[in-house]
Amino acid sequence: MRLLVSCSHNGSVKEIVCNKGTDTSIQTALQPFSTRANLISGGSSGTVSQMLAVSDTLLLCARDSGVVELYRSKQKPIEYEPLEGEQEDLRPRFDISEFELLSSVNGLLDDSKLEHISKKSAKRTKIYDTFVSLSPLSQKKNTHFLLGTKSGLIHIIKIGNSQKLNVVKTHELKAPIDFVQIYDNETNAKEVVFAYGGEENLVKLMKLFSNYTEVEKIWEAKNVANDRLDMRVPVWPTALKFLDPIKSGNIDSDKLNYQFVVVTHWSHLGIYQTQHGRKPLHYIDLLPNKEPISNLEMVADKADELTPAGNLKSSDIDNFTFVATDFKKNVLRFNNKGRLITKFGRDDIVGSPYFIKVINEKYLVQGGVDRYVRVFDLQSARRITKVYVTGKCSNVVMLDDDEIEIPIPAEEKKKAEQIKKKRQHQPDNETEQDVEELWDHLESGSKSKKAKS
Amino acid sequence: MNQGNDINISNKMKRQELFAEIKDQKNKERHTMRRQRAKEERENPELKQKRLKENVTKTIDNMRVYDETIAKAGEEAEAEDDDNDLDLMKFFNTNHRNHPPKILLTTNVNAKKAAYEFANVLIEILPNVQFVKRKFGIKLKEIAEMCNKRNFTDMVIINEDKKKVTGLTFMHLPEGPTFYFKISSYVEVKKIVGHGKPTSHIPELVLNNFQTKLGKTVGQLFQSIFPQNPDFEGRQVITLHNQRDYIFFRRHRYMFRDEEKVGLQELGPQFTMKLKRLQRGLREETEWEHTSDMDKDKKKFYL
Repeated sequence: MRLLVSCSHNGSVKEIVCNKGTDTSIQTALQPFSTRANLISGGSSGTVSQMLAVSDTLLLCARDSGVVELYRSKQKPIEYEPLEGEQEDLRPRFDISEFELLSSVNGLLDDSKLEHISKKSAKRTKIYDTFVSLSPLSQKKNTHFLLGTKSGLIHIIKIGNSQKLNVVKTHELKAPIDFVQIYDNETNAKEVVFAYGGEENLVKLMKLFSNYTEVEKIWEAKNVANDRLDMRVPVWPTALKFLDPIKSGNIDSDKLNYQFVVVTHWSHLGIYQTQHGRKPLHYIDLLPNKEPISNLEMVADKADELTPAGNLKSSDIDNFTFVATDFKKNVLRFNNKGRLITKFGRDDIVGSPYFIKVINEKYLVQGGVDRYVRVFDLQSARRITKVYVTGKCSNVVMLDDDEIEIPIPAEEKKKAEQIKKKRQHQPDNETEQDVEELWDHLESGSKSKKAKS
Repeated sequence: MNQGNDINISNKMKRQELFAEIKDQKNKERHTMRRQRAKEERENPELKQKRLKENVTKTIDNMRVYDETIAKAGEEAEAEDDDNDLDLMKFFNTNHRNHPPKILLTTNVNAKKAAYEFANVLIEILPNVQFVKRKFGIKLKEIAEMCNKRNFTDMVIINEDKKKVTGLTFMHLPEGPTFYFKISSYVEVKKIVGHGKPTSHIPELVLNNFQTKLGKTVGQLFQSIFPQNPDFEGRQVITLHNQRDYIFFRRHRYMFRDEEKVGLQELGPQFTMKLKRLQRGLREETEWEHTSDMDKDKKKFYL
């Protein structure tokens, strides 16, 4: 398993190479083979907030200092110091990555836009600008990327010829933005639809067209009705994921056909159908005491049911489950009715789980302020790996989930082979008669014992 | 007693007498053994060192569960540590001499007498502190903003419940973190026998046994609250001693009696703090929170 983890204490990206069953909090358990810090850049102000593996060799990093960098990674076999004497070399062999900066663009963040928002916000400390999303605009070409910032800037960046990064266009949307989610359930080469929203910023659907240079608002949500005390319900969507559009039944062709799920800072789960209207179809309270919810990841039961952007390829809004996190320490899996199904890492996670991501419909990667990166099995919620990364973790990318072979000493290998051989031999010679004899023997033995007692 | 079988006397008085005799004999044996050992060790100090090395008492503290955040001895750990300090120091007053701490002290809303009495005590302890009575209807964010304008570096809030001081919140301004401690075992100055009177000198600070990453963060908090240029002529020390996640607060004055002996006079007060919660920002995302299931394992400590 190869993970890239962005650590916020020194702005580094750590490459962690480990196997399943790794746990650094137990001394005797399997330890990671390598935790090497790469791409260090000037302290916590250069924290990598968004990472994207563009291809096997290219990596995009967006830092909190407003810089986006393109790296080329090269896999090199690990080099150990030669062993003294004639010891058997039992150190595992694997590749480690080395990164080379190809190009970068800077000045993509704007703190000044957030100053007046900071004063109105329910957040108690000043809000700083950061990148909230980095996603490819088309899966086929993989050259254009959408980069969303908290201050409402949407940058379209392009990896040009000779691997040079440049900003194609910057669109300005209503700030603050907490998420930008691309709709990639249906691919359309010319247009891209994405959704965004944030604190007191209702969900809006936008369309990018004419080679991503123009943007148009195509839909805007409406707040739910006042509560029973006739108080306005506060708005703060924090994450959104799309579902497939409605496929059968009465489809009004005048209206847009999108379905999506939203979680909010005020602990709501909102299910929207644009065919239904601008208000949500369901608006459910998830947690008691209106605890903030910050992340949303859809769970797929089958392979290939999730799009690369994490949307669910199913149009059934009555049957889906998702994973969300709160500000305390919980990673929770709910169903579409808002009922809690499982908790990930209970008694284990102690700090706010800052980042979660579902990978390959199989794993859930979690990183957070408690300085651990954990990998869970998505269906059983069992922990597979736990690695201490010395810094608070803001983003994780899983490069592969291959196991690394650990060499076994020759003697043990021999023994293991012998045992294997023995086991293989037995069933060949064993006939049904033998088995029956064995059973008879066992039964008679037990009877005699009983008789004695 | 393993000799219990030998004593088979039905008279209780006699039995007790005999038992006392045996015990006395054993005590005497032990004392002579110790005297002998002391004598030998006085002649040959290596023996004592060897004995102390071999006979290490197993305490709950030294049997604590492995925690990888405790920096290990060795160069590798040190290099890692430098990074860590960067991470922590971001939040605290990094350059004390230019920016001495300035603290706002307040209570919870609707506080009773106990809170104000404790505030009086804290005013004596904390340097450069200003007490403000908490008013109803002003939000925490507004208080923090006001403090920022007046260049306060920290905010301390006393929490009182049912006429007892139960907690202390430390907020670093402008961007946190926030620490919440439970307060217990408070002993006021008057109750301490032979206590001295504190002077207004800046005290020295002793931080004991803060080992893990979380513990170091807590240590940094106290470092940032007290100025780092103590008045040594005051000879006052504030000790924050961490043992099994309880932080003991003590204040002393020391005196050098001669070249070897040092006398201590307690100045008071005494109280014990326990970290309950550490949050990012001003009470935002939880970084660490004490939960009741953490008490299950008696040998696992977090500070």
